[in-house]
Amino acid sequence: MTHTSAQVSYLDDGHTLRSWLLTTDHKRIAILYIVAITFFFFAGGFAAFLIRYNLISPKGLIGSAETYNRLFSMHGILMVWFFLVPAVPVTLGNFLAPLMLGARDLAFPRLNLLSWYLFMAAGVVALYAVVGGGVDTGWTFYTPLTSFYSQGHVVAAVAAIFIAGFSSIATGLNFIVSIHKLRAPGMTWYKMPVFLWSLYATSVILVLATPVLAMTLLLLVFERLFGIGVFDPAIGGDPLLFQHLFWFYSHPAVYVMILPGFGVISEIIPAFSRKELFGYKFVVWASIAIAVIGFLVWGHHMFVAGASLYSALVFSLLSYMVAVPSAIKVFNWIGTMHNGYIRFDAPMLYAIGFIGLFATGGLTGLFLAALAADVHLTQTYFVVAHFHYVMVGGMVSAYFAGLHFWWPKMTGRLYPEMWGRAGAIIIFVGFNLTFFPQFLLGYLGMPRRYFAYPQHFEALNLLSSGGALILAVGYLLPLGYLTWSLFYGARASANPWGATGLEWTTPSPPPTENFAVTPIVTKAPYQYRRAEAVER
Amino acid sequence: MNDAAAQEFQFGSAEHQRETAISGIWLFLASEALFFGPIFLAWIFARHADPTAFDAGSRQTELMIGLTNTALLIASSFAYSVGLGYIGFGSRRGMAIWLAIAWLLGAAFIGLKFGVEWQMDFKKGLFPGPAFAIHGPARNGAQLFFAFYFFATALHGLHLVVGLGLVAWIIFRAERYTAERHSPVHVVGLYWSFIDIIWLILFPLIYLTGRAS
Amino acid sequence: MTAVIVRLVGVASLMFALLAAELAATFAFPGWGRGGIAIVAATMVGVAAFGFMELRQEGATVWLFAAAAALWLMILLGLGSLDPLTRTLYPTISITP
Repeated sequence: MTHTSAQVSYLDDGHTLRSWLLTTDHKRIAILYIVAITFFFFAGGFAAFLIRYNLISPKGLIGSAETYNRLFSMHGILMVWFFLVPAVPVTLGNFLAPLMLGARDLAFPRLNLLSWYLFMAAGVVALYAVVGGGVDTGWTFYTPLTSFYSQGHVVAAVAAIFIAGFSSIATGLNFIVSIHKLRAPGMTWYKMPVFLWSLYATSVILVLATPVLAMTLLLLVFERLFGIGVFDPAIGGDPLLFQHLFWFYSHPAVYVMILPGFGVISEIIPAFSRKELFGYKFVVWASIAIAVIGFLVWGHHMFVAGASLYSALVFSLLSYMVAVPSAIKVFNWIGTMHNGYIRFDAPMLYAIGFIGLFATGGLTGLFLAALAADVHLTQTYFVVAHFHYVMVGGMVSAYFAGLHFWWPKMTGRLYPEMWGRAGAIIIFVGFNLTFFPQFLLGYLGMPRRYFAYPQHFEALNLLSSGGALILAVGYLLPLGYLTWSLFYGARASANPWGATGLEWTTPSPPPTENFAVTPIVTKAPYQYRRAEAVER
Repeated sequence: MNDAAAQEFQFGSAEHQRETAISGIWLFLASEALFFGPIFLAWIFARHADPTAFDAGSRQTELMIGLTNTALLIASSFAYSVGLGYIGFGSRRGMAIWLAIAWLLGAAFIGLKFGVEWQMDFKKGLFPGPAFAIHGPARNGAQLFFAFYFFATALHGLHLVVGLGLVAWIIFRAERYTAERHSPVHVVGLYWSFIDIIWLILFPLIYLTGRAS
Repeated sequence: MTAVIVRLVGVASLMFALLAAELAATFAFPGWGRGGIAIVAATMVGVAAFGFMELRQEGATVWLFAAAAALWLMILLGLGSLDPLTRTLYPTISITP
């Protein structure tokens, strides 16, 4: 590709399909990812909708427990590996990381494109597994169910996750190396926006945890195909080894899902409070601490699985530790808003919703880290509600917050503000209606993963399913008005929010080379002044 | 990559691009190290379940072949490093020759491992399953050992085969490299030595700990 | 170039000497036991990293990545083996045909 003028917007730099599918421009790859991820989000969401439909009646409305098993497995697999893990890093991260760094692209642009193709290949294999009948194992693939007994397309589903894993590793590697090597002149580590720090912490997990999952899945496939394996209890192998390895990845992976969300919120709250981020260094180091401590807590998924009591004690204590940096962040966001000049635009509404929902999800996590409480609560809807508060209430809200915040930058168009606010409020209400009853259900003892339930749980389940309907409307709304804005939205200026950060110094949408002149950074991030707020 | 351009447009200089490539491969190798992590943890779990039986399985392996293979890989890493040294002085010929030697040593490892050793193992009935040759109290633990053995050696072998492909690719493209610009040679060399390191860990786990008293 | 080759011959010789020591730890000196093997093997990994991969010449970034790999492997193997090493095992029926 040759670039004659730095002023051609990346969207106008070639209009052919080829110019998109063979692009190495991080901004175009981000758009490719957004399209793919939106598809998987609604596919996984559709499965969730059917789950809630089934649970309207205590006897189950879809008629077959087997179908129900396959539905929640598909929901988990698609949502975890094809939406939550990649969502913010590959879309907003891909688009913004070089812009925030003041660089022209990521360190390895072709690797970036390759990671998209790997992701798509994984998606095709996953869809093959789904269309072919799915799997009934849950997203956790525990042995020996998966290695010997399960009937579904386990190998195909596992292969899809394996391939998606390499896409993750490629993305993470690209971010880490870019952040080390491609910072603009003057951008020291402490002058980086928090979003970049969060991406860095996320990438550490992607690069160091994903390979463990990849090898674990290979061991599983080996055992399933050849009947020999280290997880086989018949020859003295340990099925708990699978769980250890699986959660060595999958627990840090939940921080992969939430850390970029922290980054997004840390950008939005100062911008809409017109104040400097409170305790920048604490927020930054809390991200890194979460990435590291997140690796030390996986055993809390196995308290009742038969793991040793001593290791359970250690994991329980370590699990409490990870709450500290998370709490630091929440306090810092609130500290930023305190005495701020707050504007309630859609990104900020999502961000405020995020703080409340994440705090609820995080605090209920402490119940589950407690050994004795966990015995009662594990495998119930309490756990389901807990991680949906973090993943959906937290992470998906953060994704939408970021999508709205940077939408003008990415597309050059403004979204309709009133619709945006309406969407944020509908999602917040629908979400709480769906998942708060599940805390109660779990506390009362309703187990997860069952397609039928006793009569006395009906009212709360009905409430939850009704909430899911509102939530679905809330998610379809942005799909509608954001698409509308692509064609009819007002043109955006370079910096419609009056925000700080290098990405707002270049036109919207940015030119292919990002910056006509490589920027030189002299100021710390988030230097907001209240006076600016009056302008607009 | 266009040789006319000094570097890709996101880098300030060719040296900047080289440094970035080298740190990239190191991070990739860090990821690879964790990729092998579960195999090592599986060894700990499997051996701990029944150490006596696990060691009995280990003693059925072909020590001489394992030892020869270790020597081959050390020599191969040495040869590659010499080749890398040659291109640092601008000698494409010297590089190609020594890389070819490294390639042959690696190929010999593959030949010995899968062409000879695995065949002997199969013939002795050491593949886990109903036909497993070891009976008595050590049967289960020994099967667990061989489940580990076949999986670990297959995975390591696969990495070595990829490495052979990469080394061959470097040899075919030898004309492109100069004393100043040869980061692909360096990058592949790091990967090549990394495969060596993995074997240096697998070798004692497979052949030696079971034989030590 | 001679200096490079001399250095590499030194590294390779050291590796072969360590390989011999590893064998000695296994067969000739039972007193060293498995700990001896582990120490020698770890040394060989270090020699390969510093001798062949020339870790010493790389910058802080590369050091950070290498250290991260070592630390995370320690987490995986350390916390991972905590469970089996402290677990109470109750006797089960084993089938030996």
